[in-house]
Amino acid sequence: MEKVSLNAPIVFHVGPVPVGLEVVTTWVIMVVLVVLCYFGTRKLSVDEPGPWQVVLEAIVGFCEDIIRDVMGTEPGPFLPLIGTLFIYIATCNLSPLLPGVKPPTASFETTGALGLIVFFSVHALGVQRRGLLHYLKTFFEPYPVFVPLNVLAEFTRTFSLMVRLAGNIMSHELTIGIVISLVGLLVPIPFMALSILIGLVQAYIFTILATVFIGGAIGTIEKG
Amino acid sequence: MHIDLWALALQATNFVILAWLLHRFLYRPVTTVVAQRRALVQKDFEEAQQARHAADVHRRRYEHQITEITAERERVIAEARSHIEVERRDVIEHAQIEARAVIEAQRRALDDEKRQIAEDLGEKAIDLAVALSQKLLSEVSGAAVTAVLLERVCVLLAAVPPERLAERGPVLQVATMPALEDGAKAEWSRRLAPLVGADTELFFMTDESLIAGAELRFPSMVVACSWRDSLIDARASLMVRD
Repeated sequence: MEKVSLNAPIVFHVGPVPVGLEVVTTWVIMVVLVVLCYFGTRKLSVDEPGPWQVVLEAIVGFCEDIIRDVMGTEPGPFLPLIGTLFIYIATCNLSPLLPGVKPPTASFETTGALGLIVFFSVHALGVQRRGLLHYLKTFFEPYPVFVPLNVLAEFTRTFSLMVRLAGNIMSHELTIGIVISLVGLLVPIPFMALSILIGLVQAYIFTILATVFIGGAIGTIEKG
Repeated sequence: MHIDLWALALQATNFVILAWLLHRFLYRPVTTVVAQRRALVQKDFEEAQQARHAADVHRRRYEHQITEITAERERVIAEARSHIEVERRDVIEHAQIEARAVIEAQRRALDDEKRQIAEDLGEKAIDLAVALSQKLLSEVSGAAVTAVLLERVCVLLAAVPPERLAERGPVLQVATMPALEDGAKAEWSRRLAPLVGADTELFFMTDESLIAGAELRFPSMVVACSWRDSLIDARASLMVRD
């Protein structure tokens, strides 16, 4: 029986560093996003925005609304992190719509990297906004006996972020692959349409949870 | 399954780079444009608010002017009505005064005319009485008249208080109408002497203004008995009665 690997295949090596397929795909996605944004924002108009400008303003406005609604604060300092999380994850989740593309978010390295970034961002922003001692005091709430549980929760919730996203996308990819192998090419189309919804919902969930964690750390909302 | 740490590090690095690039090429330009549009909208909104405020100010000023004009109109109308009322009262009062003056003048003129008519009638009556008396006396004998006059004069003279009569003086002028004849003069002298004293000197004269009568004219008093005085008294009593 053939062994199924969950790791992305290695495309090439740069010295001792192996470069996997998810990294290459991420680079392609980065280039596409940056090029689209660069050309899409070259001729922005205040009075008469074009269709592409309207789309970009809607995406940015959506990310700002998430931050403003969840954290209850102005979105400016948090927009690059939260907005990029949503846009990058959504783009990665929707990338399988193109034939032959594997979503980077289906690998634990990608979601793990995102989880680590959220983990360190939460604590860095918490310390920055509250101060080190005051932030550490939050681990003693509601009672000091909860310190081990609070510390453990910081790791488990980050781990759950990573596993939830990667597991959903990976399982969906596997499901579509199995259906294709069993019934042919046209039958999986409804599943691919469903993957659009799943990809956007997963991106939204990851972004919302990251926003909630950051808001709890900086004290704009109650820490969960 | 195992985690490729190189891939994890590369993906983390990729994410950080992507966040910076999107911040550079997406978030900053878009938020700047949105902020400019928001500022523009805010500016338009503030201008609209200012225009609305200015319109409200103009509206309130207009309403205030309308109120003032209405009040001024009411005041002018009230003043005009008051002025007209005062003028109407003045005109009426002046007309009443003039009417009363005219009525009073007419009444005075009528009274004067009535008085003048009464006086004229009185004079005519006196003239008629004089004419009738003269005609009557001309038909009556002079001796009989003088005898009556003598008797009446004696009665009047006897009624004069003695102290008054003591101041009569030494001369007595006896005026009569008609004239006394010589015999009558002697009779008058004989009858008057006991009353005025024998030392009093008598002078007889005729006075037509007496119409018919006699007057004893002392230096200090007069004893009169004539139709002229009677007619004058009658005329005076008639005038008082009118």
